Amino acid sequence: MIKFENVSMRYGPGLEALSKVSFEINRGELVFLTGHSGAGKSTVLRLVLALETCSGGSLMVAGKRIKGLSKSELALHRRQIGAVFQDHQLLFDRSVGDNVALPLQIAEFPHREIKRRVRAALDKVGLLHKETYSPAHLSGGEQQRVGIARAVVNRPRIILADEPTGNLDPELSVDVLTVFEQFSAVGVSILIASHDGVLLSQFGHRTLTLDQGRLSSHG
Amino acid sequence: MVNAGRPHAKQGSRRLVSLLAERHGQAIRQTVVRIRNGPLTAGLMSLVIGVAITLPALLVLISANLQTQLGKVEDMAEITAYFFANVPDNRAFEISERLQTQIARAEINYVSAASALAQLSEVTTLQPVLGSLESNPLPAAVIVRPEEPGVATAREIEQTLVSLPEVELVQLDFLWLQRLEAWLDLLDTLSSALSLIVVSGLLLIIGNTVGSSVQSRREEIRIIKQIGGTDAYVRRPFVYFGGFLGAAGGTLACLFTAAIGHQLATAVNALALHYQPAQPVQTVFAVAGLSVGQNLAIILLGASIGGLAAFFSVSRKIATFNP
Ligand SMILES: Nc1ncnc2c1ncn2[C@@H]1O[C@H](COP(=O)(O)OP(=O)(O)O)[C@@H](O)[C@H]1O
Ligand SMILES: [Mg+2]
Repeated sequence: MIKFENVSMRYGPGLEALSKVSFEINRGELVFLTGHSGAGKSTVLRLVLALETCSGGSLMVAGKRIKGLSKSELALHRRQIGAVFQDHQLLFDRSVGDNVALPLQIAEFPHREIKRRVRAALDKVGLLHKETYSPAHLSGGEQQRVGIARAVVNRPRIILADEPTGNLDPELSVDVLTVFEQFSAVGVSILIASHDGVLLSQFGHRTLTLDQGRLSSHG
Repeated sequence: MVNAGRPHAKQGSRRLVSLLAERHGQAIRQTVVRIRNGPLTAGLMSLVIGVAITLPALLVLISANLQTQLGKVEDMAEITAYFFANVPDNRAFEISERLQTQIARAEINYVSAASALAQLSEVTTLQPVLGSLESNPLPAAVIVRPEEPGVATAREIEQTLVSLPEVELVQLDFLWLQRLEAWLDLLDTLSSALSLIVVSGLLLIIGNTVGSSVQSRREEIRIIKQIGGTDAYVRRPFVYFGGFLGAAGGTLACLFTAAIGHQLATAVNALALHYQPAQPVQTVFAVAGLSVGQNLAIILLGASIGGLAAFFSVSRKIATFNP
């Protein structure tokens, strides 16, 4: 589903954020991506989402080469991916429910269907009772879970999560990872960037380790 | 189960309709929310746009009214040819009969010297004076009323009459008419020029307003693009917002124009008096407002200008935003 072949990434002149990274993630697979801060984890996720373009190598997602996609193809590409961002990226001028609804609105689902799915997604992360709240009135952990609900609401083929448990206490972290496992069980490919070694070992999925932009372990 | 992307993609035309309804309904809902969140900006902008559109709309209103009045006055325009006193009555009558065939589409009346005198004595208190005259001092005349109004037609008829050797004098007092027509031409030119200026001004004003709205929503646009929103999706609510501003401004302009037009009626009456001689022509100008169609056109035009300005402004801006 995701295939990196000798992918290099350079943000500007200077050091490479990624150098010749190769790995593959299959359909329904849940993979952890770990490494120190600055190792290049977020960069890998941003490349998959086509928020950046790689400076070398080739990157295939869902059987398509990312390079050379047109503007509208890029939008469709991003719609099949549910992304949880490190800093949540919520819209503070609309309610929690409307934030979660955003991917469905963008994909032009019918009004009623949107409502149903939003409630189901919020229920999954235990925030159904906060549907009408503003994200500004939620704790960091709750905001994180709203971000997760938004990522899964469109039933994507791929889920990317950047430090999704960064703001969560251990108990909630386990809950969130269990939600991800449920999705992988029905065929969704999932890549989770995290430096929470303890948590990762607890789950025991395949782990890719990045070290200064190089893949040091394929798990 | 796995079902990302477009939910309706493979369905029929009924689905297309509901898809379009969903798409635009959503954009309109967002626009309404934005207006509700910043009613002051939207209100002030609409006011500015309204005032701007009012200027050319008023000129159109004035020009249309004067045109109507001019038409009425021209209907009453008549050209009078006076015969030399030595032209015998039957000769003059013959000529006026011939004119009947020469001048197409005009009402031609022959007034003999005798009947002219009779008419005069009917309307004056000078009967004793007239009665004491040895001979009739009035010449015979022919009065031509063209069916087709306009200075050009009148000039043509004048030429025909002047060329008759039996005619001493042709009178057509339409200098004021020509002046009015020139004024109207000027007014039309002015309102065209002003419309052009106003339209470009509106494009700039609305484009700028929407542009700064885009700027303040940078973050939101970035997030929407990150999760797969197309440029068209991002653009839509802004285009509706621009369209709303234009339509609201247009509506205000219609109201302003109606109000000012009402006030103007008296002023126009006063002005008209100066251009009309003592002739007993009906001088009360009932100022007609813009028609329903004209009002609708102003509102629609405002909406299209607003939508268009927003479209280009947003497109230019979001092309530079990277998710
Ligand atoms: N937008 C950017 N511009 C320049 N350098 C960047 C940018 N984003 C990340 N980097 C650099 O790329 C490297 C990898 O960053 P990142 O992928 O965010 O690491 P991680 O997520 O593992 O902490 C770091 O050295 C970081 O400074
Ligand atoms: Mg990171």
